[in-house]
Amino acid sequence: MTNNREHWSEDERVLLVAILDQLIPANEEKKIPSAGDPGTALYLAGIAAGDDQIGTLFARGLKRAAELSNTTGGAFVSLNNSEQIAVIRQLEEAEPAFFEALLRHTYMAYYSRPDIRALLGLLAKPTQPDGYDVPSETPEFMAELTAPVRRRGQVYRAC
Amino acid sequence: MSYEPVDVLIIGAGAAGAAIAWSLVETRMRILCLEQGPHVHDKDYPSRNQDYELSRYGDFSCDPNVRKLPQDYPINSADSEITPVNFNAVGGSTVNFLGHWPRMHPSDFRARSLDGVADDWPVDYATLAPFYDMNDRITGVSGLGGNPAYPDYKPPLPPIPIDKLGQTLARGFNALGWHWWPSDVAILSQDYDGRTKCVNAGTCDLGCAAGAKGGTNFTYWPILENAGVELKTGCRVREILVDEDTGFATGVLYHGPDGQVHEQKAEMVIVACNGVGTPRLLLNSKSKLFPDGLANRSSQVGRNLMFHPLTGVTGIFDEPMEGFKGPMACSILSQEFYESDPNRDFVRGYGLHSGRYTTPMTYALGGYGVDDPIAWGREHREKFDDLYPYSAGLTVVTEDLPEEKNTVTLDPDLTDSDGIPAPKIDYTVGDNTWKMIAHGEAGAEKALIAAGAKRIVGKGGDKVWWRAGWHQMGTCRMGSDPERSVVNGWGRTHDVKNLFIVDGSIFVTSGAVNPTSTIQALALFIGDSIKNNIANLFD
Ligand SMILES: Cc1cc2nc3c(=O)[nH]c(=O)nc-3n(C[C@H](O)[C@H](O)[C@H](O)COP(=O)(O)OP(=O)(O)OC[C@H]3O[C@@H](n4cnc5c(N)ncnc54)[C@H](O)[C@@H]3O)c2cc1C
Ligand code: SF4
Repeated sequence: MTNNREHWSEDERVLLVAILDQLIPANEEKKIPSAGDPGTALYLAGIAAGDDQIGTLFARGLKRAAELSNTTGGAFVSLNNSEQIAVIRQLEEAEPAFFEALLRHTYMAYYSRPDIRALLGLLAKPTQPDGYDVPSETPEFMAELTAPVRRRGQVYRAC
Repeated sequence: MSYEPVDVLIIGAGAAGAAIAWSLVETRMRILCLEQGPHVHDKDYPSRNQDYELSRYGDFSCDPNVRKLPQDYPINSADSEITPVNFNAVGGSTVNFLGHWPRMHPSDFRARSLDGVADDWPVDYATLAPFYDMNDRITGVSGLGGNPAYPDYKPPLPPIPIDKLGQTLARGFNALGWHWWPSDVAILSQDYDGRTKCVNAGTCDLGCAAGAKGGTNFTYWPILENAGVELKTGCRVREILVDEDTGFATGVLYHGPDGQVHEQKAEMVIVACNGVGTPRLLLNSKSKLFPDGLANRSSQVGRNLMFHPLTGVTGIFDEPMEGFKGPMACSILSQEFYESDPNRDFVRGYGLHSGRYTTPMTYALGGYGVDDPIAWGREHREKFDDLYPYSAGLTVVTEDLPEEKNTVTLDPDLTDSDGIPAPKIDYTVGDNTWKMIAHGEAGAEKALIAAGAKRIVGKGGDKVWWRAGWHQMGTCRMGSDPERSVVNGWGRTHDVKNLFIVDGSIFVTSGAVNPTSTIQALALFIGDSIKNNIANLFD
């Protein structure tokens, strides 16, 4: 099996990272990075290296992406933003199985990152054992909130 | 190898198997439980791992067709609108279940008399009420007493926090004058019985490493193993054997962890393999006496499969709802539309469930129970920045009516790793249910807007959630007529007098609530009936 890091050629890696940048773009204001970071690409390399079928699918998909961008005007990274988006839309049509797998694994790789979780307000660390601090409502508060429901009375059929 | 007979052989160590074992333990009979899965230790639960969300799509998926672990059996759902999901281990599906714990209503046991559909159960709510209470105490149930949707009862522990999300929706229901109530949950709001309270981790489906969720691996099984109930894991039952002369069950053949087939003899066999696993096992137990499957003279084994078809509606609020905090499926429940109303175009009813929201990866992949990744590109960013944090949803959980055409049969080709035929599901959502879903979506939208939602997104459209066959019922139903049912009013099969079934397959109707509280209350009731009839149990 190929080493994850070396799974793709440099050209393939650069192309993939640029596509990932488009799939999940950054939010500069909130300092949320795009998916085109080394971690996500490495995860995808691991998936492709570990499963021949996905490996072949990804190799074919990336080759097709390179062809589509060349027809549009050159290497994918040299295209402007709207041209890149147009190429990805063509790719989605032309290689649906690849695109579906790419999107799914990109989402899985990106959102499994602790730093991304933290930027979305979740714990960076695992949810157990500490969890989140959520205060209990007081009995008085619940009594007040449920008062209209209790006032209305029984809502089931006795039988 | 053939083993000496035990008094009671239970197949399946999930919710139902554990409850009936507990009920029978005081008889001092020799009880053995065979479970195809292993013990899964809480230190191995994915919620303790950094990449915990990934396991939801791998070996802790609720879908056995995704997990593909050695203890799982594949399920052919190509001809079904919903795929059954489960977990195969000590604790069964309560290892990854979500702990929502509503009871059925009294009227659920009387659908034929009250509404002219389906059949009445041979037991009623009043009979089960003490067993619901008993099970709640053993499980450690949290909730608020005085719910006007039920005859009076009080859960042993105070409610878990409903938090901002639950409070917001509750105010919406109040504004409409609609029923809602904090959910009953099999989740500890306080330390209880040597177990620690819920820490609001929000990943209940990945196993509750805190032990706060009432999976039977934390509740019943430690008590049972201490009391001397024998539990053999890694043992998959292939077939239940019958004596051709007496017509009694004599025991089972099972595949042991050594890969060999063994025979275990027993005086009494109790099946607790869940609503798909149980009919599968009976249908695979063919003999001269029962050429169409064991206890199947009525031809009802595997028919009338019911799920709770469901869909969700999401509202977008002004403030962050923090829906990833707290038990994932439990906050509040509205039963405004639970009971039949002649003014509606459907019979029976549904619940509007407010779980919490979900974690980012699952949101990106379409939501829990759904396979439909959200858009990429700018739209993706907008969804995560402008919608996800501000989302709160209501799930429309409908009552499914029994229909003979919805079946579990044996697949002619597909098998599990021991070569046992896999179950095949044929299931379509009924017209009555579709009408409920349409009504429920409109109701959910109204409630969300009344609660302050500025926009409504994510209505289900013309599909129900696919990976949401959490509740499997009806496939060996109860009844007093042996021509039309598989077990009698206390779980004994009509055809084989020492064979009992205790899981959701014996449900006559599904109600519109999560079933496990009722499954276990029923198992305790059946255990009690066995004890009461012990002198002439097999007459
Ligand atoms: C993701 C998820 C969420 C859920 N959420 C809720 C909820 O919030 N509230 C609720 O009420 N319910 C919920 N449920 C449903 C609940 O888990 C089930 O109703 C309950 O566990 C059923 O109990 P059971 O004993 O019939 O089956 P299970 O608990 O599934 O146990 C059956 C056991 O039998 C074993 N078995 C099957 N066949 C064989 C065989 N041939 N040989 C040996 N062993 C066998 C299995 O391995 C399994 O351990 C959920 C389920 C899932 C999967
Ligand atoms: S939210 Fe509570 S019940 Fe659910 S996994 Fe966390 S601690 Fe357990």
